[in-house]
Amino acid sequence: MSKPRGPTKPRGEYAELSAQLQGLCMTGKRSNIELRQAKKEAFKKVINYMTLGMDMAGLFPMMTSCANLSPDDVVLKKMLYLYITHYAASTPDLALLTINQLHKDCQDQDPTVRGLALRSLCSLRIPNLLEYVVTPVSAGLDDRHPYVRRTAVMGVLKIWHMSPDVVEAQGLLQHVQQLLGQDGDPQVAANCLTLLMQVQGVKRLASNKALMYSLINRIKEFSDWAQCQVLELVAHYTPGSDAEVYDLLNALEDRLGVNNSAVVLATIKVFLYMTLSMTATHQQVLERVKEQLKSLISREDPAAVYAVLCHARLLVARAPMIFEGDYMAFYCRSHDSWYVKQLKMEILTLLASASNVYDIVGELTEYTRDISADTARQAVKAVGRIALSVADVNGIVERLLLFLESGYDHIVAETLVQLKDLLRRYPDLGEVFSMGDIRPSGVADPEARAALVWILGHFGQHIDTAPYLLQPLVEAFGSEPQPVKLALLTAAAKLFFKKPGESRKLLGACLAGGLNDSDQDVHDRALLYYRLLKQDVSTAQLVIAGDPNEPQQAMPFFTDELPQEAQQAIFDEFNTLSVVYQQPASSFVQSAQYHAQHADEYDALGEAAAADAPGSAGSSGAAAADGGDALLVDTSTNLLDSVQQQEANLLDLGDDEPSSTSLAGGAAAAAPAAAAGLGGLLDDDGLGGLDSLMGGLGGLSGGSSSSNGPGQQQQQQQQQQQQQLQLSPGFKLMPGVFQERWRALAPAEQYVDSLNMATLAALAANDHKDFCGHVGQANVYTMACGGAAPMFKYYFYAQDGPSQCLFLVEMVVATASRHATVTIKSDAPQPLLAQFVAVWKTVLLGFYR
Amino acid sequence: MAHCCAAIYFMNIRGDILIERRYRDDVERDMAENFRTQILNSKGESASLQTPVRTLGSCTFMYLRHADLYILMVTRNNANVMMAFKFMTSLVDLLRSYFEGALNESSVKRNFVLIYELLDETMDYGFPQLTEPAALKSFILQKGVRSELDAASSTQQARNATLTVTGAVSWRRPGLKYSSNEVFLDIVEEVNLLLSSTGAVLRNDVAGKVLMKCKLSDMPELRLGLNEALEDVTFHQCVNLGAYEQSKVVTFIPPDGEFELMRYRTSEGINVPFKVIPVVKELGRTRLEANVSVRSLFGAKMFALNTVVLVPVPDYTAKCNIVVTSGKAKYDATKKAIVWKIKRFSGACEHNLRAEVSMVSTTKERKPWPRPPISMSFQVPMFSASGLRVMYLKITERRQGPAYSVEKWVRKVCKSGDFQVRI
Repeated sequence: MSKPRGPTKPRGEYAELSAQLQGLCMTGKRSNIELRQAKKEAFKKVINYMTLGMDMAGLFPMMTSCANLSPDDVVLKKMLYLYITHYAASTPDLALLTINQLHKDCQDQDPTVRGLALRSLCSLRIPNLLEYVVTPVSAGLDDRHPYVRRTAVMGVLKIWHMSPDVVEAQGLLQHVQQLLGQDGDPQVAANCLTLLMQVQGVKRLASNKALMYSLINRIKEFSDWAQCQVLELVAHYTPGSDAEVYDLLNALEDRLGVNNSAVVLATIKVFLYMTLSMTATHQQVLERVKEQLKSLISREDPAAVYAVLCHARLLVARAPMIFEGDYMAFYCRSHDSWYVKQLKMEILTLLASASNVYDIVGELTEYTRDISADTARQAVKAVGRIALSVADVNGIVERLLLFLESGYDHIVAETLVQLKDLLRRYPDLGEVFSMGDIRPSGVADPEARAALVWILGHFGQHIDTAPYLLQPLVEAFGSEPQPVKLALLTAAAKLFFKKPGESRKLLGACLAGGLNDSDQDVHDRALLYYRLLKQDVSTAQLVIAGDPNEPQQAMPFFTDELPQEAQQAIFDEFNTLSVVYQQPASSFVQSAQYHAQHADEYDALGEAAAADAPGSAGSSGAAAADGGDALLVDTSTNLLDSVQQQEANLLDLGDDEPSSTSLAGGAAAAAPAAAAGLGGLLDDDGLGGLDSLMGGLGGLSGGSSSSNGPGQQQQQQQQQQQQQLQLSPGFKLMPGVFQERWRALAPAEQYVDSLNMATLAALAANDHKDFCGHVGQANVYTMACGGAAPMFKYYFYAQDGPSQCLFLVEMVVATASRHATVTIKSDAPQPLLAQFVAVWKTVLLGFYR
Repeated sequence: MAHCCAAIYFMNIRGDILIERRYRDDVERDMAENFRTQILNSKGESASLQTPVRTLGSCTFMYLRHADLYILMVTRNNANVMMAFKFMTSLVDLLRSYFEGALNESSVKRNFVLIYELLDETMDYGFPQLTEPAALKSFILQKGVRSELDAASSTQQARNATLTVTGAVSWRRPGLKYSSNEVFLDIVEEVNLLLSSTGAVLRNDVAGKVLMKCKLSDMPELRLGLNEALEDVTFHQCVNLGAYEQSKVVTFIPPDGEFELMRYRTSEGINVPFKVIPVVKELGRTRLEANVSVRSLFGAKMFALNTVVLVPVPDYTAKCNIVVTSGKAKYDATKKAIVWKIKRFSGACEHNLRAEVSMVSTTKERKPWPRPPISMSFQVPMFSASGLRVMYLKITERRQGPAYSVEKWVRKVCKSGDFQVRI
């Protein structure tokens, strides 16, 4: 909790205000309208400076006495309480002084004042003052005015967040439960519901059938927002029979016609969840809510439409058939914001099927003329994705090829990127079409240029001019961006096997450029190719361009499509941010460090919430220290990132996958000769020192490669890959998977370290983030971390790239004995495990003080 | 869970904080500062290029823009995103009704104490409470409107009002008195049309709303009969939805003052007010010829106001020779279009535009002209594109019975939404 201190206030103004307030206190005895007005102006100034971020905490005494002298002015009181709650957390001593006044106001005649005082009292958020808060709140629950009662109910929630114990001890929960059943005022009941949903967990509350039915029966009395809460509760109810489901749906159907989109979406959630096990009805429900979604899309504000479209995207992805005929509803309007257009195009991509694909692609083609280059590119991308997904490829591919002739750089660029993916999926297309007269040197966008280079290399056998088209790029190798350099290296190597005579020089220049490059990846790839070619050309061909006698392999799917289970996880959190982010809440809500005892975080985990929550409510918020299960909610996992990461990896792999070449046998025979020439070429280029460099590198990496014969090279390399630990950078593991594996595996390695005080302090510093960050540098990632004084707990994971073996690490630090117990579990073979343990210990040594 | 946010901020376009209201302590002021530096003022991307939901670290920002303001909600939890946005729009509506329409940076600065009061009442601990303007106005008084009255009586009135805020009919307080009862009902429709260059209808729908202004005493019940049952319709919370399902009569006890009674949308049986026939020919590299004819399809007694037709022309246009049969037309270089304005377009008649456009000639190779669509805007009073009509509007007041007399006013207007013709 950091103090909201912005720039320090200029002395002059602060002093002036202070004096002014003091003056108002002195003359406060004479109560007249003028004085009241002057006070109001002064208070307004204070609030204004407070909003600007200046520190006004010092005016506390003056403010309080000033307001106390005009006790009947409600607006003044409100400003004072706003001020107090703002600074209470940073100046608890001063806040203590106002408790008396607040208590007095809780007894006021006016319910508005009572409610205000109660709300402010509960908002002080100072645990030490809790004892002063409980009594008024308890009394407030019995107040004769609903305004005070509903404020008191929210007060209970605030207390509970600070200390569940107190709520338990005072029996406040039972009190609230009674109110929920009895109170005639809908807003009071709604707040009770909100509180109990937080404290007890939705699932447990939803199992109370009588309560839920009574709420549904009076749902029309509630405000829109309270209706959302009731509907949220109903969504978690498990109906006993199909007949009950129909009853509930009938009772709630008119909620779909409410003007408030939040209520509509909450109702949609109920409808979807209720019918999950009834397939036919579920389809009907989708048909029904489809209309509602369409109308929300057409009439809400752009920001709200964005939220609606995110939900539509999820539903369309789940059941594209249902929405197939309604593609027109997702056509863009010229006034739509770009993000709305983008989502609509994503949805159109998902919707495309044989029946509507021509209409959709025709419409998308119109969008390529959009003034915004981003939107136009997005449209081209959508056409490319549709071409990938719809079986009837030919007509669409032709449309995509037409974009190449559009004359607009951004459209041509995006088309090239899409074509590359398309060719990876359908390699046979490579023989069908020509790339026209597009020169890579004329394509400005690096990604697109890399794509074109890839196409030229991969399908070089069909494109006579390929080596000459690449020539200008190779000449300026050093000035190309990194992705283009990588693509150039691969393309030149592939061309070399297809057209050795024309491409020899090209490859030589490329390798020379690559070896001199400062970028590590480029350098490594060049080095790899060079060594491969030097050792054995035919093996090199297998590795780089694939087996020429086998047909080209198609890429069966791309990883940017959301996997089924992730989609299901998101659906389980319908009507929340998860749907917008397309990630389950566990990946973006950081709960281990904030309010570990919240029941809703258990819900976010999507498991066993009902069983756990009441326990944690009673057990003094021990959740944080309560072992792995509660901690496994940390959010360093980011599904989206991992998906992108995987895609990036795939792109690289794509170059190395087997692919056919129509290389004539004669050419293959000529290849070794060419390679021999190549060696000379490289030497001619003044790279004589390369071998010594390689020797040096070999020595570093264990001296394994250089001493072996060329025939064993391939095998050797594989072995080396198997045995050499390479932790995957950016690897992500879902918390669920982690738990499952952790349970399944036996401990492979266990040891105890003793730590000194400085290390202990360093571990806990910055909320444990420093330590986790340190470990992360070694590609060992944090699943969860945290805990307080007697015990810290950490869970880490890592994956070996080549073998896909997992390493899971638990580290429990007992602060009293200063011992760290480390348990490592893994499914890796012994040599890898030993390497990992070595890496792990080195990492820790690097952190120990 | 269903809470919305941990804090609400109002910012101006530069990202300076105008209002800060934190409901929970798991977010700090720095978050709003981060929002400014990393989202609003980030290099290369201006705020107009950002999605309305963004995340920095584990913090989620949801925001919308109104006039020269950003309204921003911050949370660390998996919030109910729809509720958050709806709450923000309700807040905008609420403040607009307090400030009589003008919600902007200066009105926020002038009334920040009032806004703090309202934020206190509309949300508690991140859960929306009460956003109904009628109910809130009864006990949160705008400075300058009520506080200059006799202080004692106004406080007394406020105290009484508080007692009703959470009652069953939260949108109306009892005991209202008007010397003469009046009801205004406006049907406002927006017609969206997209025609392909061959004249095929690609999209055609009408989004309409019924706006009301009630100055009625006591607790009247209104019954609104419409000529057709609308398929896709949503109502203000005051409407008895069960009664509508049964008898298709809109039955309600209205809030006081202005409010939106219902919204509807239809894509069937639409009366399109205009037909546009464009012929745009490119003659070589430097000339272009456009013939656009616009015919009004509504009755001869009606008329359209402020009709504007935008006929796009290429960027490098040098000169336009334009002949029109009515109104005024000229080339507007900033809009890259010929702007043709007709103040009053009578029903059942046709007007034409003929333009010869000459472009600057260069030796450089030009990109092809993307031929953006012709767009049109207009207002047609007393025309209903959806065909919706008010059959009757009955008003009854239980206590006063037949003595309760009301003046009723019904208006209709059809506006252009997205009205475009591809060429």
